Amino acid sequence: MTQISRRPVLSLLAGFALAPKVALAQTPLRIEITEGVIEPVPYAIPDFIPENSAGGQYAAALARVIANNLTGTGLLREIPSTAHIGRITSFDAPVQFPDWRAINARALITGAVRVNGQQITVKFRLFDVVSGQQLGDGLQLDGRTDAWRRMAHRVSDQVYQRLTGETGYFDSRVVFIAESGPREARRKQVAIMDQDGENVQFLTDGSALAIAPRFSPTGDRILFTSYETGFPRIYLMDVATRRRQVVGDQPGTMTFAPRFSPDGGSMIYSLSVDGSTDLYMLNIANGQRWQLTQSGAIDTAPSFAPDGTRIVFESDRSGTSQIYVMPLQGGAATRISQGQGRYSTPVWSPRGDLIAFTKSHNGRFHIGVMRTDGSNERLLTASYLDEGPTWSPNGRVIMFTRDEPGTNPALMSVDITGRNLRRVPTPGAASDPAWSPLLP
Amino acid sequence: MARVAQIPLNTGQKASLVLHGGLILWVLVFDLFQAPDSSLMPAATEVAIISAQDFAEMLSAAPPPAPAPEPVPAPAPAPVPEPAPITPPAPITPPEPISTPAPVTPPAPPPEPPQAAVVAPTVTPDASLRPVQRPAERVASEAAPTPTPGVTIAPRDQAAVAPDADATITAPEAQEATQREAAATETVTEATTISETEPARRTATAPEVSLRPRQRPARLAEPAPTPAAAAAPSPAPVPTPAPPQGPSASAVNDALAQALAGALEEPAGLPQAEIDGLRLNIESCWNVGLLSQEALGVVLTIAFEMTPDARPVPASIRQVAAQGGGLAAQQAAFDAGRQAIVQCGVNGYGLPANLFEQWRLVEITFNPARMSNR
Repeated sequence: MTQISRRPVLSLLAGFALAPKVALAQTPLRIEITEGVIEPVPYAIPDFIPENSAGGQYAAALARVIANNLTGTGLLREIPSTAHIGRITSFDAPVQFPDWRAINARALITGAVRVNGQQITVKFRLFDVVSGQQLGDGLQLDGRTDAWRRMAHRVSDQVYQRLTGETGYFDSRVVFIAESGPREARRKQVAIMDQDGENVQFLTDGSALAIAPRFSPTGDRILFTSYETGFPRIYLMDVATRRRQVVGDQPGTMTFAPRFSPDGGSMIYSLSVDGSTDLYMLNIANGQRWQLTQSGAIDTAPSFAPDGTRIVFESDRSGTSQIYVMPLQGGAATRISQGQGRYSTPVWSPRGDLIAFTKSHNGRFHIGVMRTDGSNERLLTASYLDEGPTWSPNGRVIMFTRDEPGTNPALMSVDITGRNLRRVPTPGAASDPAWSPLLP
Repeated sequence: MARVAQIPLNTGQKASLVLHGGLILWVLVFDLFQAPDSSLMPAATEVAIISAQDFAEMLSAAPPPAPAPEPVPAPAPAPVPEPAPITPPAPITPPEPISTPAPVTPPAPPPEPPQAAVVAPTVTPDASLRPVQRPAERVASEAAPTPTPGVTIAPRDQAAVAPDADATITAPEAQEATQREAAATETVTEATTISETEPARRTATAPEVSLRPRQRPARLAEPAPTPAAAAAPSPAPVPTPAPPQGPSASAVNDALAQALAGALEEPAGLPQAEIDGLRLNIESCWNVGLLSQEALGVVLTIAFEMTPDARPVPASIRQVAAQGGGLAAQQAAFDAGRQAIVQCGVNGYGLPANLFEQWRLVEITFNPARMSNR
């Protein structure tokens, strides 16, 4: 047996015993936080700094559009300018953060605007007031003065993305049905506007009933259903030129409920013939068509998954209107709505994780969301009549139609968490919205 | 070859030869040197040696001898008390918290006259628990109904009862009503309200987990303490057991065990209440309402230093680890965590200054999984 000298071993162990004491002094205190609060984040956005005299007419307007966008999310709360202590006198001057902390601002947006002829230059910075740091890099946008609102929307998107971690949805538009006249003789026109209700334009003259407009993935075309001939037919319209054409028409049939494929080259729609309504796919370029369902029931309101591999639609093949998912290349349709009531108008989220739908149960209508397998159904709204959901480009907000007795139908929006239910401003009665993707 | 001279034996020698031979034969046959049975060995007892004179003096001083005792008959077996008749269990005041039946009941002593009866209690022990009547000092006038078989009697605090019959029966102290658990931050949509059947959510102030048991100090094969274990120091350190006084061969092992015990020992001092207070403080400032769904899936660890007055040093706040989400989502999650740390610590977290080294460095893991879809 080998004899080990104890002295060096014990000395080594003594040092080893002391080592942890030294290390412990450097050991951090570790805590796990699993609960937080949910409340609007207060922020401040002073008027932008006009860098020349021509820019002065846009300095305040830009800030107002941005503030309206951000506050409208329900995630942020603007601190009014009357409460501001600090003053932004120069875009490049250092920010006096204590002045903004004093009014409990968490974020600060500063900007400047310069106008030269028809050209406008907008730049901005975003600051974390609490830590006294700039969030991300500043951004400068150049464009035409008549597009100043879009520039404000783009600034809003940048701020929103920096604060939330997801893309914004402000630089987008909404196509909808503008309604006017008495209920028994409604005049329904296709109209388009910015997502905040500004810049409303009518795309049809209202001489024929138009319903269900849908944007193309690039936002430059729309599909809608019109009753010009007395029967529903699908029209394809170029938004810029307003030129339109009939697509998918077949004598003796009714076509309706169109929606673009994710690549924009095809559309899926319902075709009703001999009392049977089935789903069809149409190549818009060459007119080639093929049938997707043949259930003998009413299959309608189809919507593509973002990857284009599956579709979701409503069908009454089980006796009541329910939601089904099926592969685009064929295969059995799977019913995913399992709750009580009737389900209709399913729309796949741009993020692909949720399906929004209309539900009627016990005399109430709801807008809800569920996972693509039908699980985790959540109802976000409830009213006399809520229907026709459409997703914001980032999949965070749902817009829909609300029609209450005694009032005109209106567009509403709600966060997918169920918070921030608010009315979307429109010049008159409005229904059947469809949200565009972010504008290029 | 040498020749041995023949020497004639005389009579004495012959006799000696015979006697020695006999002695050897006796030893071999009767096992003279066999070890005696220790049980047969008399016990040695120290005695005092006294002289005859002393003994005479002792006799003269002693009292006259008592008459010889008569033979004592064999002791009769103790009278075994007849088992008391099994009667319906008498309610005994006060009721004893009995959750399991006593397997053995001692024989009942001679019954005593019952004292004044008192009001029957509310809980009656099961008959099977007491096959023999107990020497109850107070017996109820009427037996309470037997509990339904299978019903478990909840343990109750045993109230102190005065032994006298005049003692008043004190009603069980009413348990103080507790505040119903407050719902956590949750979105109540237009369509739904919080279901009453939904499991109650824990309050924001409830501790997340119970304290982890401390590491055993002498487990040599134990790996290094995990970060989670190190993050939950117990308020009272467990003293390291002194190494046993063993032989020199185990001295190395003993020293090693002691060294490792010190290494595994958690930092002592910072009470759990202080840690909980810090956690709750930051929770109150951690606003996740701005985070996207993707950012709500990011589990983020942020480290920072604090000044001796328990204020976070903003420049020291850094991201240590992040799981889930893209870069933008992680950045947003980091911003939210940093704001929570700075904002709530602007006036200091109020941690004990004498334990500064315990909280100078802090690592906080923000896990918003529970906050998703709220």
